[in-house]
Amino acid sequence: MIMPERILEQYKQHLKRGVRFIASVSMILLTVVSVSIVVGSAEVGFVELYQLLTGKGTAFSAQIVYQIRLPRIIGGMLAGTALATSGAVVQSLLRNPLASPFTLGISGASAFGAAFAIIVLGAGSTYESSNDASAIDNPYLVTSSAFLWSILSVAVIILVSKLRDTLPETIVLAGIAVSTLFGAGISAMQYFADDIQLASIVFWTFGDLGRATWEYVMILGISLVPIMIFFHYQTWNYKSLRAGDEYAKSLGIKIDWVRLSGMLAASLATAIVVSFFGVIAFVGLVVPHIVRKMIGGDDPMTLPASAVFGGMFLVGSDTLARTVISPVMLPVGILTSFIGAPLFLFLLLKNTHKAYWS
Amino acid sequence: MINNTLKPIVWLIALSFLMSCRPRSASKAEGCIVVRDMLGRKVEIPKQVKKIVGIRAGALRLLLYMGAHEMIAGIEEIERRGERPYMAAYPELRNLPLIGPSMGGDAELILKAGPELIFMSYTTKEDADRLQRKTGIPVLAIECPEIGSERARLYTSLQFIGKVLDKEKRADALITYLGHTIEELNERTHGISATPSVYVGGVSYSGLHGINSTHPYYPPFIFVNASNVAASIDKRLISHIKGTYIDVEQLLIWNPDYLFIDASGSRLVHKERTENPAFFSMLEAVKNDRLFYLLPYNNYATNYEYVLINAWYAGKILYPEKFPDIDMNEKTDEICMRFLGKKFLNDRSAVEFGFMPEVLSE
Repeated sequence: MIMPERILEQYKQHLKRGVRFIASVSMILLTVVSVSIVVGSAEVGFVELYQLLTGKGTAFSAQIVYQIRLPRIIGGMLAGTALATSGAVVQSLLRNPLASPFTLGISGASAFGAAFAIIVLGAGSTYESSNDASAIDNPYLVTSSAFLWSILSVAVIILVSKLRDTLPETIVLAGIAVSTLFGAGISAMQYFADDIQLASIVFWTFGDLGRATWEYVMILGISLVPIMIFFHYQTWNYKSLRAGDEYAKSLGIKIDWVRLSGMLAASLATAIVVSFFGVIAFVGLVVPHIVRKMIGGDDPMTLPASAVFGGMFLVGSDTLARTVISPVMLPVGILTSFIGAPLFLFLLLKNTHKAYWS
Repeated sequence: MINNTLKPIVWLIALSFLMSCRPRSASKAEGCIVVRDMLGRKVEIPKQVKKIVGIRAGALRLLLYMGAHEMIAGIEEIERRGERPYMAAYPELRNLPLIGPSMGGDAELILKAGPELIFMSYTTKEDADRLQRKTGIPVLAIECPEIGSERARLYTSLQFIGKVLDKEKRADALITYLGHTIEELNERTHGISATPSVYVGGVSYSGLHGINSTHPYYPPFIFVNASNVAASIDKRLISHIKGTYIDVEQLLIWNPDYLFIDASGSRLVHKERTENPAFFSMLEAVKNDRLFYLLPYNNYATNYEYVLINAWYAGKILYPEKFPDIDMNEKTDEICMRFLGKKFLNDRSAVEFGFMPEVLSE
């Protein structure tokens, strides 16, 4: 028995729920951001911020807010958005709940690429060459290398998913293999790195937003916004793809192109984030799941919801990381795992009867 | 749909922040000079400096060598722990505000401590520029290189700090002393025909290590022309930062006449010995009671004053006839005075570090 009106009504309800969710997460995001601006080791709080905004602030608080806290917060927001959205997209494209930039080895490959650029290509080792151009070129060199190597890991994943009838486990196992390989690669390169290079590489293996500067934020914004817009226009294709390749084909979707472009865009976003902030685990895997648990697995809703939630999650985690054992800061990657894993387990156990992954 | 409108808003907020918060270029203040730091960066700094900080491994050490203990505005968290010579000399520095974790450079904490200059070791141009932009405080890159092979760079680094802090005489005095000492050690020990073979184990590299952790070009051995058995290792496999680790079996094959243990790794070596006494009893040096401790070589970069003390000590042990006039306690005090202006290594610590022939007990 078909009851079109009821189905339509249900779908509208579903959309409403999604919109409500996104709206409330956005509110939380705004709250987290405002809190984040006024907490930190230096005593710059609401009062100082108010003075600053009314033009009576000191140079000290201006430096703290504009040069240290704001770039970090906006950088974190962009990075969280990019990672969570990439995770959601990759999960849809591979029809695999275990997929994420981290579990597929894209993050590891990017970190390897960054290390490769530093050691083999000499980025960052601005010792003898004191021409000013090298300092500007470096971030791009590192990022490009991170991206190129991440493509390699994506190629492996896509190849595996093509050759074998893909069980979710197969792809994740391939991802583990790729991650391990690149992890070994990083260790091997550490052996040949000099001390300063070594410090840079160690940094890439655990994520930290402390490096954010306006220059980074600018590059992040310029490169991530088009990718996010691209994802946004692809959501219906992803939704169809999730229903099965045959079904998507029947709708006239060029599935190979959609899958390839989506994977590449996701790995580019990941590579950019990794090359700036290091490997931040868990955001790409857990955030989409949390979102799906809350509002169901409908791509047109989960993608924007993951985007907002990811930004909120990372900025929130970073705020905690900055304050929890103040004045010493934890790398945010530790906090995202500490918060993400229990939260995820809790949600998994809480409503087992609700299948959100189809 | 709302999500369509929300995203642009988020971006808009982000962008508006971006537009409004571009750094205002600092006006060139009076009484500023432009210096070129160790990475060749041109940095504008105030002529007169009262408060400074040193971040990352070895930076604070070099500042204190320059007699700048009264100018230090904050310390890294790691300086509150551990037994580094410069903190033993100036324990009151432990009460200063924190400026971040080890190898850090936490911009907010540094700003709070309020230095006028930041000295940063183990950094790149990009890194130093970034911290300078974030704090608005001039960042000067310095270096803490190996005292054996890269001594010229160490001298340049010291001279640079001396120049910036108006302590050039102090820098020159220390460099002259270093040069003279190394020269004297060489004069006393060169041309000896049958030099005994030596090995140092337990050297720290980013953490403590056992007997297989060594330094094939251990500067104290080079200064006294001792023949380090590990020097036969391919030079490309050696890093004085990450360390060199040998297969312990190789130690049996080399079987050096003298075995030195870095005091920082002594506990681990002791454990190795309790677990495998047979191995140690096969070593000639152990059989002949020729096992000695040396002061910790590395601890958050190299303890340069300990390098010199170790060199005198190793020389005295290897060729007693060449060092009859040297009393190690006096020498230690002299070196500590020259580097840090204080005699901080007392008799107790000298005994603890084993300034006397001693075999690992049991």
